[in-house]
Amino acid sequence: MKKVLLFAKRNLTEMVRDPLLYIFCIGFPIMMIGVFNIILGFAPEGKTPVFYEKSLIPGIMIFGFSLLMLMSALHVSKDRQSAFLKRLFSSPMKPYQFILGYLLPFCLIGIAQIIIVIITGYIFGSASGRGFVSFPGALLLFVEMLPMLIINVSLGMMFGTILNDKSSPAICSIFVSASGIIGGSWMPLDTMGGFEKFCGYLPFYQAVYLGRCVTGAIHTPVDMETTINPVLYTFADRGILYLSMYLGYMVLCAALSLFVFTRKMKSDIN
Amino acid sequence: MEIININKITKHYKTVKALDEVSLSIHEGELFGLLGVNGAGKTTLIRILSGLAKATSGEATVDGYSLKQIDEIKKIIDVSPQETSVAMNLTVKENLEFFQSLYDIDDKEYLDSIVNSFSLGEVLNKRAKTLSGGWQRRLSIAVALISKPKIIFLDEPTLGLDVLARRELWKVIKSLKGKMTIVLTSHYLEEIEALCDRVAIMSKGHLLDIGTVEEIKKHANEDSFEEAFVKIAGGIVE
Ligand SMILES: Nc1ncnc2c1ncn2[C@@H]1O[C@H](COP(=O)(O)OP(=O)(O)OP(=O)(O)O)[C@@H](O)[C@H]1O
Ligand SMILES: [Mg+2]
Repeated sequence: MKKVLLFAKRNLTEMVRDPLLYIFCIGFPIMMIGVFNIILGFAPEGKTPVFYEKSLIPGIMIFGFSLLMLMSALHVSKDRQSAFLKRLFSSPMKPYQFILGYLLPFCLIGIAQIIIVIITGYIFGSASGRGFVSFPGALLLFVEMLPMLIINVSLGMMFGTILNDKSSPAICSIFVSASGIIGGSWMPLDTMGGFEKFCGYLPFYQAVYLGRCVTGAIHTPVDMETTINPVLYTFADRGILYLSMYLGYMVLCAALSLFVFTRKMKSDIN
Repeated sequence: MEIININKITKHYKTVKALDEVSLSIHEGELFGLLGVNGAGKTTLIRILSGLAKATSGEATVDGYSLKQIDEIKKIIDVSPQETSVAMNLTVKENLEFFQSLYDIDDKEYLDSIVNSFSLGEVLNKRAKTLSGGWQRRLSIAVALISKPKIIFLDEPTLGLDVLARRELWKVIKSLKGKMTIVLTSHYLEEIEALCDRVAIMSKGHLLDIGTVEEIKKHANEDSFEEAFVKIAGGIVE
């Protein structure tokens, strides 16, 4: 465990010294919250609740995680390319110590992201009078986001393991787009019928949907009546299904990443 | 006493034989040189002995451990790879501390002595990536010593260093003589001549000759080491 912490500390130190981390992992998500608040200023009152903090913040979080995935992949692939990782391979470090030593600091950064985005959500939510979430709700939202965080950092480590520092950001940018679009934060998926159903099979929308159940977000109104009596996202609706798939994805991605990393470590020693 | 015993190590890559039945022994505490032109197999041999590559056939023992017990070997060796490799966003001091802790060593005095002998004092709090290539190189080697290894492999340690830095590094390496076993690769003859107790001459995966510089000169019947090397290494038929 001592070596895990030592390696984790080294990774965290190097990452927080990279200004790109702040621009990507914190700057972009906060900027998007600002952008959607501007859009809301032009949209007709009550028609686009998908951009309210209650709906938006869970989506912003997974968007932030996808950027963290990119930074994580970049960090690992740079370690491989600079022969630094090879050098550590000849030291008495075990595979699990490498894996935990990478994932731990990635997760810590992700947790910082969650906290910062929640605070930003409170600020915008109360400034606009639209509200966001209660304190216990925020805690629950935090927990609800952890599987998505694990999915993103393990995939980040995996892409960093198999791709170089040119192609890993390219692959990760697919996930950045996916988080925004099929995660349902950039547009009202709940008006899109079949497409929403499709997105429901993927962890992006599952994470966002479950997050919206926690915050008590409201569905996009279909007519005058639902504008007056808003329909809430509810767990009873499809929560169990989404939650089980969501946790399944977490286990799958984590296992895949561990497998790929240990395999690659073995094959690098050839 | 022999600390490294290499017995008919062969290493095939897809198209090349990087090592072909190489056998040699290295004595405890000696400064052993691996001399050879590009592609001779020097790096490959070091990678095998340090667990970064697997031999196709043959065996070796390092401090009594066979290559199968590589986890034990890793505890007592350290490698300064041919490419400079340090944590670029950490400072010089942080790099040294990181590698020292990695080997469960906590010896501030020893760390200071390494800092002194590599004259790293003035750049101690600079991040590695802001240093010039030569200074990064020094750090990369210093980092390999910081774990107080019993055996150290220095793969072309003076690569990229200017004449003065090179001479300084020679001094450091000489000062280590007797304290640990040093295996050093180079294609600079004068470096090998100046530093090494014994030398192995390699070419295209073969071990051609082994002995002290004087012995090798005698084997080749030449007065200069350079002539002897050319005769031995150049004599191999394609
Ligand atoms: N990973 C690899 N895959 C395929 N061939 C390799 C690999 N590593 C080394 N080789 C080949 O093995 C041979 C020996 O290489 P090695 O790096 O051991 O030589 P060297 O003596 O260290 O040379 P140099 O002085 O250039 O560092 C070369 O022909 C090289 O092309
Ligand atoms: Mg080499």
